[in-house]
Amino acid sequence: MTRSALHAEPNRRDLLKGLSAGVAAAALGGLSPAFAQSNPYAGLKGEPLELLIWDGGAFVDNMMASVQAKWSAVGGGTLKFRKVPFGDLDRAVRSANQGGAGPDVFLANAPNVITYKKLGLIEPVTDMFSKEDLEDFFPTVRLGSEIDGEFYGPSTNENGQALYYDRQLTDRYGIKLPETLADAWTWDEWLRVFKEIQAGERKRRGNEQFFALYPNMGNTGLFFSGIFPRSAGGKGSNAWKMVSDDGLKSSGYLNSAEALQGLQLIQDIHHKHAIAPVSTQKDMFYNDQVAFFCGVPLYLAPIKKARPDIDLATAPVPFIKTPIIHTGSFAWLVNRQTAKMGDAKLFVKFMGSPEGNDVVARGWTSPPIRKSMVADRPEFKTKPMALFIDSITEWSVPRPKVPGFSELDTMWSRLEADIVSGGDVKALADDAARRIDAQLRRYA
Amino acid sequence: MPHPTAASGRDISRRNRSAAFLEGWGPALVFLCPALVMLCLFKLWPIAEAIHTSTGTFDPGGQRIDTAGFDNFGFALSDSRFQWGLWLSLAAAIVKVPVQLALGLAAALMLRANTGGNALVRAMVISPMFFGLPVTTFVFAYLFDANVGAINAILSGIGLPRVAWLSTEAPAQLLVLGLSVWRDVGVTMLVFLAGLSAIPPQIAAAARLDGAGPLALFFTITLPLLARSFQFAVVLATLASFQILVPVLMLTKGGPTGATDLASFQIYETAFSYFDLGTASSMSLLLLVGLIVVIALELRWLAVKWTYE
Amino acid sequence: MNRFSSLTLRFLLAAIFVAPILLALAASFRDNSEMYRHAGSLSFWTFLPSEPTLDAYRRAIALPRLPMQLFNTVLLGFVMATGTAVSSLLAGYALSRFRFRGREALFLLMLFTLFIPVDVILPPLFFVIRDLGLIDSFWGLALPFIFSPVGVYLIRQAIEEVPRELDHAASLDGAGLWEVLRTAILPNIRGAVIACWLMHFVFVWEWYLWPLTAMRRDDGQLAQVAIAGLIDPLRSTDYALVFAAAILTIVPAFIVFALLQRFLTSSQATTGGK
Repeated sequence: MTRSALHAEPNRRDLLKGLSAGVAAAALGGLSPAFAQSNPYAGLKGEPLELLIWDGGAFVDNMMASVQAKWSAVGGGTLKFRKVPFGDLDRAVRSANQGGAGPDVFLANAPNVITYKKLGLIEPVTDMFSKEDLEDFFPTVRLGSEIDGEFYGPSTNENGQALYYDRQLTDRYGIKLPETLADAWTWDEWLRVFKEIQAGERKRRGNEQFFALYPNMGNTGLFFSGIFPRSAGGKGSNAWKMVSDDGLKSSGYLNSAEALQGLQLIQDIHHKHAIAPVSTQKDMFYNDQVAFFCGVPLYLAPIKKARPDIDLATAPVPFIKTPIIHTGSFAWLVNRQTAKMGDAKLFVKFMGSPEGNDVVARGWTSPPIRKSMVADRPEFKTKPMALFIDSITEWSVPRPKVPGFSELDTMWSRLEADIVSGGDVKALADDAARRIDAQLRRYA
Repeated sequence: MPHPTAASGRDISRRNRSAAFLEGWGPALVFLCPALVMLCLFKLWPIAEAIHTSTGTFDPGGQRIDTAGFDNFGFALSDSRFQWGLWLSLAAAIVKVPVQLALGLAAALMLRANTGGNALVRAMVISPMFFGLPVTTFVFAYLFDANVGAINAILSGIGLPRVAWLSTEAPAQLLVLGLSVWRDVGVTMLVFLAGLSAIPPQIAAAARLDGAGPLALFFTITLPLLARSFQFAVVLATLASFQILVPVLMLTKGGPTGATDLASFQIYETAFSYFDLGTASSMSLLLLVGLIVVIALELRWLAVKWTYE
Repeated sequence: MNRFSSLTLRFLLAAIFVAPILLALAASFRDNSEMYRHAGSLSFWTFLPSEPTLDAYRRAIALPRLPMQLFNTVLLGFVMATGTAVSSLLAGYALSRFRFRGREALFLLMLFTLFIPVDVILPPLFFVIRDLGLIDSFWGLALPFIFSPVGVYLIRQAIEEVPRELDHAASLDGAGLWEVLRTAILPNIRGAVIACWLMHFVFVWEWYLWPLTAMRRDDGQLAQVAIAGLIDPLRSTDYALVFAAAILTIVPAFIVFALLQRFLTSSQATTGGK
């Protein structure tokens, strides 16, 4: 792997640009020192930047077009994109600098930040954010990106989890569901309701393929399903931690007695209770084939588009012993080998600023990363979406902080699929923990 | 060995060992040059690279950090999962090759005449290849979805139980293999069509004059004369069965409970999800050796020693 | 009766191979909700759109990079197929007709490399292309596959089956090596050469992992890889768009195949009497 620092000499045009910007700044400074000092993007050269992002189709294209417009308005250059399929993002980041310096900025799955830091792929951007900035971020935004006192990059949005459902459907059965975290139900209470609704709806529709819950497993790693074993333990227990504090061991955590209860539940909702489909098609809720959809705010837009007529409501996600949800999304990171370090860092700063983050967070119908920005998003202050903000502030934890998160996530997905298919839970969990440990040991 | 009549004036006999008129490397090199350069650059160099890689220990960033000797091979071979993967790959070949050959040969025989209708059907048989592996796999994922797929709709519509295709072991295996055969039959058919076209029509005509029926014609003339195509099609199908990867990657991820955990998928996962290049390379080389043994056996069984003279 | 059953057989054969594609074609005319509304139970509408719409094709055509990416796929198909056919023809000729020390060994070596599955040597191949400075370039995609042992094998076998008297006769008439290849051998193996060309042309549509790894520029990517990027595991995949785009990408391959496939058979029948 080439690790030569590619600090290209700035060419004449860049120098001239920088010079004129400097002159302009000096002139402005002469007139109004306060303005010059407060220009957050001083030193921006307007160079074209290349971004590695995952391919989200027209939806992401449109969003990035708005980002480009705002970025240009503060003096930024053209943004170019290198797009990869979602499932290939981690590999693309890890091999980005092979064959010459890769893209200047990565959009990466947030839990991988620690891996990329460990592999020397990313540059800290601590100096781009003031103490006030960092304190304005939701705690999980910092928790995910802060390693050894350095901050590596802001997320694109906050997440939270809740169950989406149509209130007209539950009203039909006279069922009153919890609406706040304080009233949240455990799985035992939920299972009773799930079964009642599923049986009632199947009879009413004459459709045996109607299910109570889409648990959002299959292609989301441990973001959704990982809370099953974690919620089975008390706060701070081995099951709740999922991996050891140093992030290098899952045996005794992932397959602890309590965690096994949670893993068994993953199997039971598909087989014993049979309230969840084995299908991984998200469209089942959009198309009125399941009653409850365990989701993040991102799904609001497709739900509204597919089912404009429902009385959309949300309920806190079920828990076994301890209420818990995963947060965290994608993070903007600076390639350590970029030749445009200055502009790349400023771009990441911009994406962490209220104006930059607003575009992306709104594009994903998700909460912003700054507490101060929630005020401008009334939809998150009222039902049904307020529950997501509550779950972020009260229940949320980042996914396990592990140097080899991508490896953990891959192995977890495999474990989850095997459990859903009906295998022996304890044997599978023991084997998975052993294999995860073997991979994590490589980061010791 | 075939022993057709010599009515066409062309004998089929053991290779004539008469002196060749083209001797030495000089003229051959001119013709071999492009192939040789490519061979060295893109086949031998990567293998050398793989061999070198297999003897090292790598950090998860892909940096070589230590020399491992043969440890990677020992680790791979002693891993129960990889052993299972190798057996599974072999089993895939044993199922896929005969099925694909039978279908491909049947299709080629049925469609050998050059008529417009046949041309259309030929194009249809080969069409799964044009669709691109990820997209065909995606189509299958949609068709075979447990709850909202068309196949299960048909099954339940005619009163049969629904099948959780991707999360039950045997159906998942059937699906991955079926997808692979469905895609590759077209190639086998192409090979047999080319082979059929090389059979001098005089031979079949002569046999027919001698009173051979269609079945006898097939078993005594066509099939033996297709031996080379047969050999080639077997090798291609075996190769393909050892590298079934994208369907596993996109549909089953090796599951459920290891039912489709083919060696090729494990290699991909080790290299690109775990970034353990040393182990992945030694796994590749081990699979390669297994593949060569299988193909050597096949070639021995299907040895062709005749030639037209 | 015989004619009827043979027609039925052909129809069944065609149906097995195109049915999934036809379903995808049908699905490309409907949006997700329309597709799923009828998917759970068996009816006419499980397979056919009840409210057909061309909207997905409109969106597929509007994908900004798809035309360029489709052009890449087709161009790569032509370059790879032609390169392979030519290099295989030359090498097959030399390996079949020339006698030199190590000929069998060389052929075996080429056969050996045939057994190396592409996906299995993906990482080392990536490093080789990287060291040659060809990552993210068209030639980085194409060059490793311009030589194919499959092609050499196919064409050498075909040349083996050409009677040696033909080239002996040609060389006695004073033809040089190239002349012999051109006049005595090529006409007799036209079927094999075209099969080799077509096979490698079509192979490009099968590619996924290699371009995914070695081509990281959007505008240089192949259409089928870019389409796989439309599969969105986070929100929900727009099936109609994926299928519509996929159907657009197979059109060129289908046309080329339809034009050339008649050469696959009976080349011997027309030239065998020479």
